[in-house]
Amino acid sequence: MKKPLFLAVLLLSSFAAFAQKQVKATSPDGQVQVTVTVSDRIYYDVESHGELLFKQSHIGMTLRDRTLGEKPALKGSKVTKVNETVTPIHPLKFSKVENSSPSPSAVATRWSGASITTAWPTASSQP
Amino acid sequence: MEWRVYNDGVAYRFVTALKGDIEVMSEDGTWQLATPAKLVLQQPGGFKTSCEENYSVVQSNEWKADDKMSELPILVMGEKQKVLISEFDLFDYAGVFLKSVGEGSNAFSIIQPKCPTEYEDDGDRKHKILKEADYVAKTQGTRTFPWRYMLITQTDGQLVESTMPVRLAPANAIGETDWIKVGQTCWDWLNGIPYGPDVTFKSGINLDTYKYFIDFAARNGVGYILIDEGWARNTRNPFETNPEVHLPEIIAYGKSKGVGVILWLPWLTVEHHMDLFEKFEEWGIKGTKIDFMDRQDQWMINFYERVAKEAAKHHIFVDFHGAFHPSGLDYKYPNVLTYEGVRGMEYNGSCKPDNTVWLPFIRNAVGPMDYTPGSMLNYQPERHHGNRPICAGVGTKAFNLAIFVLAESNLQMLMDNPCRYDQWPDCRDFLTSVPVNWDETRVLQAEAGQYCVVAKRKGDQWFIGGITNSTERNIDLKLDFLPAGKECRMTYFADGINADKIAMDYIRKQSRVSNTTVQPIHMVRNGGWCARIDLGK
Repeated sequence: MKKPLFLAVLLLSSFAAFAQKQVKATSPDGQVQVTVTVSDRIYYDVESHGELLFKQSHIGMTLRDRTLGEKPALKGSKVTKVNETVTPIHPLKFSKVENSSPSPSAVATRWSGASITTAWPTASSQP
Repeated sequence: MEWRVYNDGVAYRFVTALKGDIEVMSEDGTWQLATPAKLVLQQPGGFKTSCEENYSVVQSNEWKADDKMSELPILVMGEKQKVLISEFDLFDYAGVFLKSVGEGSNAFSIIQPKCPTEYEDDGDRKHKILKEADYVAKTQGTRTFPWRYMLITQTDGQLVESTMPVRLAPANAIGETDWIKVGQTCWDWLNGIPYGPDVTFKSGINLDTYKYFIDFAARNGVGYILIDEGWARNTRNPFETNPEVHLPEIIAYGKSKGVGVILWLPWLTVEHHMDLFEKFEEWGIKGTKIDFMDRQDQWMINFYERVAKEAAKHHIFVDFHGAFHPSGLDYKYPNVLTYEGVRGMEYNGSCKPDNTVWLPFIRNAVGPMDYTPGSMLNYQPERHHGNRPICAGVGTKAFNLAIFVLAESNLQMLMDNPCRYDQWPDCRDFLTSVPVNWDETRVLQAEAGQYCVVAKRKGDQWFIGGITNSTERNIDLKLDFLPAGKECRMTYFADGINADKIAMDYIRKQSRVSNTTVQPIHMVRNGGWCARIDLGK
């Protein structure tokens, strides 16, 4: 069903990334940007088409015995560009969804993305 | 953490690799708007909700911490851009609601129901929850959590065209899906009493009535009939049918005419009789409509998945009524065809175009929606009159035809009485020709909460559906999406000259069009416009 095609992989080495408190990722067309900031907790900003939409929004998860995202440290990050074609089994809007120029008209054109993966060690497991 | 940054939005999720089970006490997800904006919310009185509230428009800085929370999805109406926030890939976890952080904060954050641990039956379709855990979910420590996504658009039409759910969807978990046939279905609940010169039997929940439904379906290429509450002698027992119904005969009659039978069930009966899917398969039942779940706690989220899985095992599809917004179950289990979780036609006079016009931008942007369109009796809101078994739709006839094109659902109800469709054969023929799945969707003109005109292609046919709220509109539609240099036949339905008063007034016309045609359309208040264009003709 899904045919992932990895166009490019940019790996920030975990050593280099460790010093950074911010990770950014930008959409393929350069118009949408997420900035994840790791400080007392995990914050993010979202900017789109030159407009800041969300600022210092924060996320985390409290488990019984620990809180993910509390006093976090950035362990590493990886930015991967993804380009895949998805053919939904029951197409409600488009029978093909992919990253493509608009020329074949039956294709949704807004599919394409960069993904960031970040990992944080919890306070207890920090060196 | 995993983030995705698309040209049209952002999504994130937690990924954990912890040993054993974990208990999630709460999740922090706080959206801080950079500038105040209007929010379009659906605000229930509590976590137990069928998600059918009218939309409410609230200024972000006026939403107070002790105001009602909102269900997902919510729409942030910025001056230049809009953001639709929802969740996807939700399994073995609680659903998300959003609550204001406080007046003036322009921020809102996640709130989730706790997981019920003790409960008892309360009637035939409800649990009385006796005890809740202090956690929202107890789940495997190594897993991905649901996506929280923000669909960001510069035009309102992009909300309607969005494919974000497809891109965040989990993989199909049931293998072979060729047996799952999407399509339209006749339905008896709102308008179940056929009448008129060709009806010589006593109509009701009985064999003759359902044969009549099957005959109508077969004549019009409709794949299914749905028998709602009443087919079983007792709603708690799915194995003993109402003797008036003669279910085996109905199923056999349907089969001989190529029409499948779908049965309604309250969810609690399904919970007590998960073996019913095996029995239904044996009987030859094609699908089930499962109703009244009304909850999004982890227990109930897991109920949805258990049902989807068990039904798939026995080649039965599912329409979840009394449900919440789609959040990925229908991709993992493609036998889940649709969900309610929408203020649809069953609300009669309280299902108004002023609310319905939001649906393509919000509710249908996140997945299939069992709105149950297709009313032939139509009224302007102040004149509306109708109740079971003679239900009527608010909005003009052209509106009620157009919403049938606009509303996306893998199983589309024909909500009206077969005998009434036969009274308007041109409307009947149009409605029964509308596909439920599409190759392509193009918004021609749209403003969220105001009006929406969409063209959709399936093979070599284009359909156009346009609706407006209580404001009349004049729009020039450019048909430049048609192939160049080719004339095609267009059949269209428009509001009649008196439709602003008598909503049933409509006109139907045919014309020749090409990709240079500019089609003026006039929609009266609560009006609509729809068309079919045959490329080959």
